[in-house]
Amino acid sequence: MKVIACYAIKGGVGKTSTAVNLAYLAAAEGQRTLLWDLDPQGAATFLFRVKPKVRGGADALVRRRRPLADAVKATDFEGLDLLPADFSYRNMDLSLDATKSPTRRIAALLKPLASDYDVVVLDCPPSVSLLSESVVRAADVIVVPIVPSALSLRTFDQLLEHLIAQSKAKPRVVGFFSMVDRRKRQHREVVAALPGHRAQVHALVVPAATVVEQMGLERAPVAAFAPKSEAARTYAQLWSLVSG
Amino acid sequence: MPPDSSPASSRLAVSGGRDFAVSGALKPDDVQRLLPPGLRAEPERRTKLCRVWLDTVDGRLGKRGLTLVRLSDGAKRQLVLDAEPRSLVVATGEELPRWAADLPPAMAARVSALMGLRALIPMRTVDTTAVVLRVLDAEEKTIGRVWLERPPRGGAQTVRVDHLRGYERHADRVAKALSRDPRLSPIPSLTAGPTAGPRRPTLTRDQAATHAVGLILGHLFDVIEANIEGTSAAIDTEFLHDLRVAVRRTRSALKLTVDVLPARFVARFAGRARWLGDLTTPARDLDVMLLELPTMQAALPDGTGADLEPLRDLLRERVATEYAVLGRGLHSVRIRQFASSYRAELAAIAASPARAPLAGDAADSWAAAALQRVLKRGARITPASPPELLHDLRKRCKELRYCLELFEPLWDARDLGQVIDELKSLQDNLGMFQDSEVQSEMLRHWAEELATTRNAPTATAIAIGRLTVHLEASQHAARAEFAERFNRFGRPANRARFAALTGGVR
Ligand SMILES: Nc1ncnc2c1ncn2[C@@H]1O[C@H](COP(=O)(O)OP(=O)(O)OP(=O)(O)O)[C@@H](O)[C@H]1O
Ligand SMILES: [Mg+2]
Repeated sequence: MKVIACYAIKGGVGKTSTAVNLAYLAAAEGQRTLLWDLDPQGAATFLFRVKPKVRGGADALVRRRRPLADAVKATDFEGLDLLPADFSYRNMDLSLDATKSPTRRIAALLKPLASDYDVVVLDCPPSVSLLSESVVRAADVIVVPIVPSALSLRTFDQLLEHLIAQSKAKPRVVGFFSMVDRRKRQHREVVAALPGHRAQVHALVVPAATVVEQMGLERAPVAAFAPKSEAARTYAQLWSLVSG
Repeated sequence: MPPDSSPASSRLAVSGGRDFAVSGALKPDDVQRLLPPGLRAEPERRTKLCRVWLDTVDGRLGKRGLTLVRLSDGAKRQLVLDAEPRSLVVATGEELPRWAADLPPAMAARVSALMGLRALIPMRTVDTTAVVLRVLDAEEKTIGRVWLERPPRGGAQTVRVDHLRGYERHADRVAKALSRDPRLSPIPSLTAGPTAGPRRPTLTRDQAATHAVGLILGHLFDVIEANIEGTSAAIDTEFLHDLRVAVRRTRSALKLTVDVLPARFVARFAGRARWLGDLTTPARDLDVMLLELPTMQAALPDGTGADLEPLRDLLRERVATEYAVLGRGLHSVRIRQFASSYRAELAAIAASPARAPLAGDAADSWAAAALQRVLKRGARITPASPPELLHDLRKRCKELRYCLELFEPLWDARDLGQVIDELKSLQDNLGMFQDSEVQSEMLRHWAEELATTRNAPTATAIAIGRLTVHLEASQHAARAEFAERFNRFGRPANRARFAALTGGVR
């Protein structure tokens, strides 16, 4: 079972859009896939038309009063299941903190699902937290969307530091560009320069495009309803990079 | 992976759904009409499905309630192991798995002990075309899938309602609604039964011995024929093994029961049975060597097991050649003539008038005579006796064993079980003694082959040398233990047990 986390310290950079598309592409390939929405806002849950209602709340799952498998919901897409989030996920750090080894908890919770799924995608909320530490420990790959800005390099380094600080975790980091507006000079410059500075950053570009925003209306990944779009093609390249 | 291909079906054929047979045809519109209010069916896609049920030829998975299916849905392939408490589904490649080791680890863990040396073979293949409908609730969420499947060249339509995780209750409602249609009748999920092996004949103590023997010989020949295809195709080593056992039993039976069979019949077929046995020997010897190789490698000092690899390569090459020769032999005119004349003679025996003795009495005296031969020859063996005497005793033990097994239904099962266990212990000792010798002779032979026909490294010769030393040691150990085992077998209590089994015949 391969665990892929979509993570960034910053909010609104395209984590959820990425998580949803990667999970869809994995399932389309025949891999049994689970997407875990870890964000109390439940953007991925909404996107897959699953009710944002977790019986017993996140606490019951984290404290093992209820097995994770019990809370799984099928999406509209064959082979792709979802662990929905609701507002109770906002207290995730408190729940984790009440366990013996919080930073190993997410990995421990996923373990019993290893025979059910080939791929697990984690959609993380932004910020540095106990949850993000636990996610990093559980992940084999961390996918990081980068929106070009003057601070891109610094933000990315901060993230690497955060990851390195957790000595035991050695996930592979895959950075790529998200919401790129080619009309902006700065965007063009960052996209051209950053991959040269940091080996973890790949020259893959998801452009800022209305088709990505439409996912909320279509209630489906772009890879499903607009597979020929540039965004969908980039997500497919990203998937082959991540799965390889 | 092109981004526009449709998602794979991971749930199809997994337990936790409902299957129905349809008399007539159910159309997508019919499904819509039958659904409870608030639910809507929508065509999702059409696809070609192919299911291949896999099992060992003797149905080892099926007997334990396991169903292994390779499912192809368009270009996607999955292996589905339907088992309690839940099914395993794993994406798979083009090639069908043959050995437990070809299966994904989680599946291999479930089946490898059951499979033993047997290979998986396709038991049944079913092609269908399917229309997949998704069932949506009022909020447009997919809560179930309905598969309308039909074999391409006509044949009955089937309907399957799939469970989606977290929405099982909804799918059950859908299934219930569909089941109201009188054209639908529930069926269990499709399973492929094992191909039943030849059935053992029914024997009774008061039928004519000649008839009983005829039935047994006929059954053994069924077993031989049932294993010819699997042997020629080299599916697994058990086909040849079973074939050879049936041949040896045939030879033993012909010898043992010669007094109730037409002399001409025995004279004619004993030689052919020996010929058939001999035909299979070279391939089986190589099979045995190859099967023993891992054990031999494990017996070598750490890290030197790999020194036997050149031997494995040579054996593999030769076994392929020998199987090719054997395959031709098993399809020769000679075999066909053997089969047809043998069957004809067996039919004549079956049609012959019933004559004394009765099967029960005859079997008692055959078993008693076979036992006497074992006891007499065994008693002659001293620590100074040449190995040939022990080999000969082993043969007599085998004859006794076959006799007990062939006429098994004529005796009390409990008594027989005990008697066979006692005999087995003696046979194991004699087997160890002779097999060690045979194996070390073979190893010497192959060491020579390796030295003369290819440039095997010295390390290989050294490893083989070590093994022969091991084998000589086990042979010695077996020899040292023989006297005790034989005395145990021949003790009065065991003789009494035999006597009780065979009704006092001695
Ligand atoms: N490539 C894109 N082009 C245009 N809009 C995009 C693109 N990617 C994401 N968006 C939009 O930006 C918003 C934020 O995207 P998304 O939810 O994927 O980011 P996020 O990092 O998960 O956000 P959060 O930190 O709030 O979880 C959404 O409305 C989404 O539709
Ligand atoms: Mg998000």
